[in-house]
Amino acid sequence: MRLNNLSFHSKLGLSGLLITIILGVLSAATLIGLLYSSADSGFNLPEMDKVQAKYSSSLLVGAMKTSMYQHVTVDEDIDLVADWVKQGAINNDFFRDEVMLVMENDCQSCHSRSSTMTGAIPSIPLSNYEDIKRYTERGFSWAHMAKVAHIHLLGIAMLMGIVTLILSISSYQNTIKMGLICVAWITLWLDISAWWLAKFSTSFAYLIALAGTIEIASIITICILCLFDLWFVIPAFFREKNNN
Amino acid sequence: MKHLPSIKRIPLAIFMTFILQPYQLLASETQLISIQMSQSIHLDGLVDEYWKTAPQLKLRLDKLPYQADNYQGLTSTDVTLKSMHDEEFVYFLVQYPDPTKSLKRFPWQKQKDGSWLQLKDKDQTGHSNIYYEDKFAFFWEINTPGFAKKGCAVACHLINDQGKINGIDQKGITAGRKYTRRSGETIDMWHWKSVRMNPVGVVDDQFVDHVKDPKVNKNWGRHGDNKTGGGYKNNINKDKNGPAFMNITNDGLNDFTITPEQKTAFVDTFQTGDLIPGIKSESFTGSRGDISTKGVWLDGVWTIEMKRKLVTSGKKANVQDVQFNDLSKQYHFAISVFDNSQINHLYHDGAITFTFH
Repeated sequence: MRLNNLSFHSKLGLSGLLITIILGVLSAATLIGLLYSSADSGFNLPEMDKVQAKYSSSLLVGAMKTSMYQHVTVDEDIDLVADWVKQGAINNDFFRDEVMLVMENDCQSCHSRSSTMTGAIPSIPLSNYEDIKRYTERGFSWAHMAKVAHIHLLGIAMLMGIVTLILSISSYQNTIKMGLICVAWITLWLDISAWWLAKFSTSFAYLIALAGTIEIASIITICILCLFDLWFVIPAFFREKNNN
Repeated sequence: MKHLPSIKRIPLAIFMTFILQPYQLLASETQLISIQMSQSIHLDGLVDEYWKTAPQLKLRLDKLPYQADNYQGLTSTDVTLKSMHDEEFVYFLVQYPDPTKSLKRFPWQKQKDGSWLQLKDKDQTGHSNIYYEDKFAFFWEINTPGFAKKGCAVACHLINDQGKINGIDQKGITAGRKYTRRSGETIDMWHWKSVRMNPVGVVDDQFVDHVKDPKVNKNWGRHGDNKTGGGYKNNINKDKNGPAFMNITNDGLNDFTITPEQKTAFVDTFQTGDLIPGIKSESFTGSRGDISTKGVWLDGVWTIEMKRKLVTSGKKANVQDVQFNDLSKQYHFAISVFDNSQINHLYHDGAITFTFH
């Protein structure tokens, strides 16, 4: 069975799936660009200091620099909290006078047990020292890593499995298929591993960005190649030899 | 494309439609452009022909600061904004769907025994969501860091888990307070009030500063602009058991506030269940009355026109009012809709950029 030999209806169905996957991956890339840049619209490249903040800083500071950045009044608020975390996150006068003021201004409207505002997150309160202290550990904790890693690994594996299987029945050269399939899977493992390793060295943030970029590019490339094979004739140079 | 069989154009068409197009739509999502106009605008609460040339911004408001236990109003509405300006004034056209025209703001009602009762309700914060009025607000950055990013959230402070704001007990008193972080930081607030001020043709021009102590100001950071006269007051007699005044005519237009033209001494010739306005209104004079307005509710839609001088004058104009004194500059604002509610309001995240063209 080859993609270009499928019936018209099968081609339509597969095209819908592949296009939807491309849209989903582009949406994910858009979200990543928004989370790891200062922009609030459009397609953006992640900024490395924000990637490093997310994976190498404490969860509190990382969130203030990335996913919660839009709620932070001024960048000085982040520096102030980061300094406090760096000094050991102690319940001292600086915490009570300065850090709590930032929490009140920027965080507590949503992050409090009693908040009923739209989008409130009462399950993650930042109302007192004990609440805040638990998010000051550097990098991903074991529990947080296990939580996000299993969701991403299993979810992306399903996606990756589908697109690489579709590619496997395309008419491209074996070297192209093998190369793309290996790159896609290996970059997924590297990406997720680097989330954890960045806890120990900020340089692994570069691996996150690089592996993540290649991972996204490889999925989109596979989808586009499969779409091409579904509807057009592959140039002879790229075609597998026994299918000439 | 000409050489492709028509059937093979399908995937390309799908790609163009669903992948490329969304990225082209991202530009200018939250920007309102005011265009220069050549003719004068008459404030009548109608969408006159000249408004059709102005670019519009449509924005969904679907967030509430708290869940009031008796709130029955909107949880989402799409607000359409337009703006034009001339050499002296800036004009705004605001439209949003609201299926109910809410006018009964704390009215007096005649009881079976002949006494009068002022109808009021209170939610868990002590504020009304049933006997109130529809309102709309503009919130303009004057000089508050973070406003361009956070919008009105920069000055919004909700009660914490201990029921306090800035260490002061506010449980049962309010859901939140407005104040800026530091001295010298102010925000201009244009509060359009359908019952109290719309009939007299002005917006209640207010501002927010850094005051976070009710001993300094009972409304914390929220203040009215300087005024030389006018305003609204409760319509209550000396014994505080009934209305002091009523309108000369009760014809639907004059049923819910008492304007100077209609004001007359209260004489009780009413039937059980009849309503008398709980408020009397006069147009503000001074800085608080800087903004003229006319709002009309028709077929489930509020249409509100506003007009203000680009640059206002007065003793504290630069502190209390946004000054559109540089038409090449970007300004930032946020909006909110109050559906028959005293403090609960629909809002949006972030700020809207406002430019002159």
